[in-house]
Amino acid sequence: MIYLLTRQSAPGWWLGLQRADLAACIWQTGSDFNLQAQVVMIPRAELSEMRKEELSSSKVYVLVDDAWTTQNIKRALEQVKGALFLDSSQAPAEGLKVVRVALARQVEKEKYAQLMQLMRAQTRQVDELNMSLEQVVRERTTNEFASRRAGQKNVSRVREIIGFIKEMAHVLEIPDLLPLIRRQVKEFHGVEAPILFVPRGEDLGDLYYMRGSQIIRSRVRAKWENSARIRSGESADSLFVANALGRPVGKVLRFPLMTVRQQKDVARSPLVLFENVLSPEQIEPLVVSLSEKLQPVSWALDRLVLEQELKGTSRDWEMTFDELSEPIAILDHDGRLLRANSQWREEFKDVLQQESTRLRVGQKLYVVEKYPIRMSAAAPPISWVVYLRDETRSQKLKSQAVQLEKMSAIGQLAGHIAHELNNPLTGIRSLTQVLLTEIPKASQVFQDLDEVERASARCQAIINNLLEFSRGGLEHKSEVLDLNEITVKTLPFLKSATGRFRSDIVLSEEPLLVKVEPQLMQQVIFNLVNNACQAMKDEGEITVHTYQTERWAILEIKDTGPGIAAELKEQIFEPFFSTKGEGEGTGLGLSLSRDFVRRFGGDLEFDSTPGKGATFRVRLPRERS
Amino acid sequence: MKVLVIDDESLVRRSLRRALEKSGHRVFEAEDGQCGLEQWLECAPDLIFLDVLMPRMSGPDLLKCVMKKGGNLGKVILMSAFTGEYDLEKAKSLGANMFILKPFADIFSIVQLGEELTRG
Repeated sequence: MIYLLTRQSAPGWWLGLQRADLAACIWQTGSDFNLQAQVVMIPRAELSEMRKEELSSSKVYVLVDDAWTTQNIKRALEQVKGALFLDSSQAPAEGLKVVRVALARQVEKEKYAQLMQLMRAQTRQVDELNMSLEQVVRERTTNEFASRRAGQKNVSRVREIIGFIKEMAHVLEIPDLLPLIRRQVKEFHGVEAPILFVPRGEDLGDLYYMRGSQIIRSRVRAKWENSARIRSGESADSLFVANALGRPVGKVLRFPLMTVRQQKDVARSPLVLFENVLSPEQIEPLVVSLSEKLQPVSWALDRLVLEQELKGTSRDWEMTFDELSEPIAILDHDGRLLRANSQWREEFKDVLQQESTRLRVGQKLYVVEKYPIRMSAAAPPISWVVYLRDETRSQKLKSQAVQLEKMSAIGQLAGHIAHELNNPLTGIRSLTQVLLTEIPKASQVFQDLDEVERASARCQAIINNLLEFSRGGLEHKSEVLDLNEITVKTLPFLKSATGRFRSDIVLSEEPLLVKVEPQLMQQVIFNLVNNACQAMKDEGEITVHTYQTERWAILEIKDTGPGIAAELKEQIFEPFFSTKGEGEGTGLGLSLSRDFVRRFGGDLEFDSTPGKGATFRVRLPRERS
Repeated sequence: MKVLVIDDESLVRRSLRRALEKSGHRVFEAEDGQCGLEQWLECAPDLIFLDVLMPRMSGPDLLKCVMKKGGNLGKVILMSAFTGEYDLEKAKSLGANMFILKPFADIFSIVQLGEELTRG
């Protein structure tokens, strides 16, 4: 508000001029100053009556009084702050200067006021903003707490599920699932322990349920309509559980488990069943809570069923391996045993390190076959499959064949030698016989010649036996012969063996007719007597005894050697079994002998008291003459 | 009687000669099949001891040869030291009268056998 004080008596032109100039002045101060070029002339006397609110800040009030004295001007100036006194006696230019200064001050004041107003408004706005911000912050904070609580709840729920999944992952047996599922429904009252149904095959299934802390599995025949739907209160479900448990059952809540393996066959998915007394409203949260937890159960069940089947499969394999009659094993590269069948024995453990492809363990001879297992063709082997082929039998057959072949070769050779020897021997013996007729019986020469004759007779016998013993090689023919005769023919060959020992030969008086291949039979006797002699080492007695029973002709060869240890009884007929030193025995004698005797329909047995010798008994079916 | 001994083993020939001469027989010897054939045809023996295996010509071949020439056959005793290949039956089928196995158990019983054969 601008007040200008002036004397009424001021010349009119000045006033007029003043008005116009004032307007111009005001206009000149700028547009942002909202002062209208309005000049209101008010007598000073009226000023006090004018109410302040009627005065407009946008007007220039010119207070007019004739009686302006220095004193009342001062009062007026105090009264109207900021007023300027225009002395009409001054030149108008001077007056305008004053007005301009006043206007400038006014403008400044107004600007300040405006600024202050603006500032106040702004402060208010800031306050408001602050307040609303606080409000927001308060609200936000509240929300934050709420959501954090919710988040924490969510996190703990997820944690719980993860924990549940972990637990499920550690379950080793299907029954162990039940207590874990039960824990998930503990907070719901009116829900019984879970019952788990796992289908097996077309219309069979295993039902797992709890009785107290005990878990019972029963195999149930269950051909029933099934679906992937969670359902509650179906009488079919109640009936199913009632049948399986053998007692009446109330409402049943049924959850099918969506296992990976049963996805294609929804009708045969495993089930979790809960007997309960919940109303449909109460069931809802249970279903929600369980829905997300039963997925881990499905996974676990998938795994367990798969494991069971795998175990079954590997058991099949193990059984197959064990059924194999020959040892087979998988060894790692350092020769440590990874897997082996039941034929595998401790003695084979170093087989991988051995260069030899043959392995002799006890009486068994194995051919070792090793197959490397590699991750790729160029990689070094990570493990080995070792297969031991039992060669004992084929080796035995081979040895028998070799033996027979050898016999045959020896036979041919012996035949030639015998023939070559027989001719001169015939002459020697015959000529001796002629000479014996020509000299007196009492003479020394007669006795000498007689000795020669008998010696050549013995030679003949030996050669004849040798011929018989070796004749024909493999193509032996069975003949009905006297066992005594065969025995007598064989014994001379054993003179070098039996020479050191007392020998007692007790043959039955009547002939013991048996049907045998004489050469083989001679070989049997030869082997048995030879063994007996070798067993006795330095001294002892050997007894050869023949006799007959109703059905059998029997030849016994008894020695007084060390006998046969009980633990060897099973082995002595095994091929290659020998107690003799290296090079002394083939380990085939007894084995072949028994084979031959059995070929003739008889058997070869023995009795032995360790320390007191052994008796071998050849038993042959008697031939009736 | 005239006896021909055909054997490549001299000791056999000698012992048979000595035993036969003791009984008063005239003995001719041949050391192989070829000589045997000549002697046989020349001296027409009553009894022939014929070995199977001999150089130049075997006993059975010699026998065949003589039979073919239709000479005086006499009684033939085939002798062999190699058992199995020949027996009495085979010897007879070849035209011999008897078969004996070498070595002989008793030379005089062989001589006796020959005498009985020619008599009978």
